Amino acid sequence: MKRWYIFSLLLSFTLMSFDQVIGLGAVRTIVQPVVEPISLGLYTIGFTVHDAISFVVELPYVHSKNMALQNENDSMRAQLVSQSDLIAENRVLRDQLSVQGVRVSQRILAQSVGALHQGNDIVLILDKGSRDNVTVGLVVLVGDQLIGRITHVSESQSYVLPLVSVNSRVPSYVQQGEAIAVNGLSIGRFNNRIALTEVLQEEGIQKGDVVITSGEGGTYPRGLIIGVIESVNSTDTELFKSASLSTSWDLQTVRSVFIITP
Amino acid sequence: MTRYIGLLSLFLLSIAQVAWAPFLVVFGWVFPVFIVSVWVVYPYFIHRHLLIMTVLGGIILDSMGNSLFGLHMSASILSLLSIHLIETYAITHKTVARFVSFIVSVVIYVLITQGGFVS
Repeated sequence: MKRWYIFSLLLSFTLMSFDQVIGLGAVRTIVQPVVEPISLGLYTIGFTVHDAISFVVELPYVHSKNMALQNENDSMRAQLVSQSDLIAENRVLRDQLSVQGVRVSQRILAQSVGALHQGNDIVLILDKGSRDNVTVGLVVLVGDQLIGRITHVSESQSYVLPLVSVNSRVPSYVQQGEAIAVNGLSIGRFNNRIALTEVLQEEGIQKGDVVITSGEGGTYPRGLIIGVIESVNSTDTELFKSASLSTSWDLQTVRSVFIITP
Repeated sequence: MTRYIGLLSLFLLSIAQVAWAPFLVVFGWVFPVFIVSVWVVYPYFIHRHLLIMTVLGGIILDSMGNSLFGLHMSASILSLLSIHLIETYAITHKTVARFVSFIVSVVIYVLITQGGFVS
């Protein structure tokens, strides 16, 4: 038995050495297409079970949640009406000034097939890779909310560092009114939530404010929604205050996402 | 027959560890279902068969990830080795040995796969 262990350990160390020196991407390219459908099937089963459990657990709160969503829906409709007026006005002004319209980015629809650890970070795996023109650095959205960016691409899969990951850092700001913007840094905490930090004590951020990417550093484009402030944590003795953010997604609910190409 | 179904389940669980990872996050780290299942079936399988399945499961995990190829494989083998050594030689009391081998194997796996050994 000792021989079997020595042999298998030697094999694993040899593979590691080979991967370090020449890279074993070819092995992944062969194995991934075979394993991916099984992984996708298991992910769907997991998703269905999670949905069923969530439904049973959340049943007592469904009515109050429904009422709150209806109220939110009404206010959103009102906002939409005023926005459509602004869009029409904007179009007229563009026509008068002969300015070209905003360039719309391409969106690639991708499906999450699981997640894994990369060091201390949790990384989301998508079923689109380099053969679908996915490259490192592209941003990933769910609806209009930012999830993260692509950090690694293989031929058939890509790996997303989500905003909740421990090493995720996104320069961001809180929009308050038309002119006032509060700067901060959105960081991942414990691989399951996002916090807004580095906000000066005198800044008046509050629950319900929307946090948006500032585009500083060039890693993320400006103007993508990160989340909404859920609670503000402030201590007089500290230089900065922080806030916990809520998002419309979490790793357990992410299924289909959009990869945005420039 | 039961043995083969068990081994096939083990193989599927190595894929499930990646597929179910979003649902298995506990305090920021993914619960290693594959190693736990190896620990569960350890007393019921021929040790050599289990080692082969562990190696295969490790290869599957390595193929799906983007860390150093062989990392999950060596972590899985060393976890199985720790289970074997603890339950066979280190502790004579069966229940205590089972409990200790569970803790040690999970810790070894987590330390190797997440503790800075990633390329």
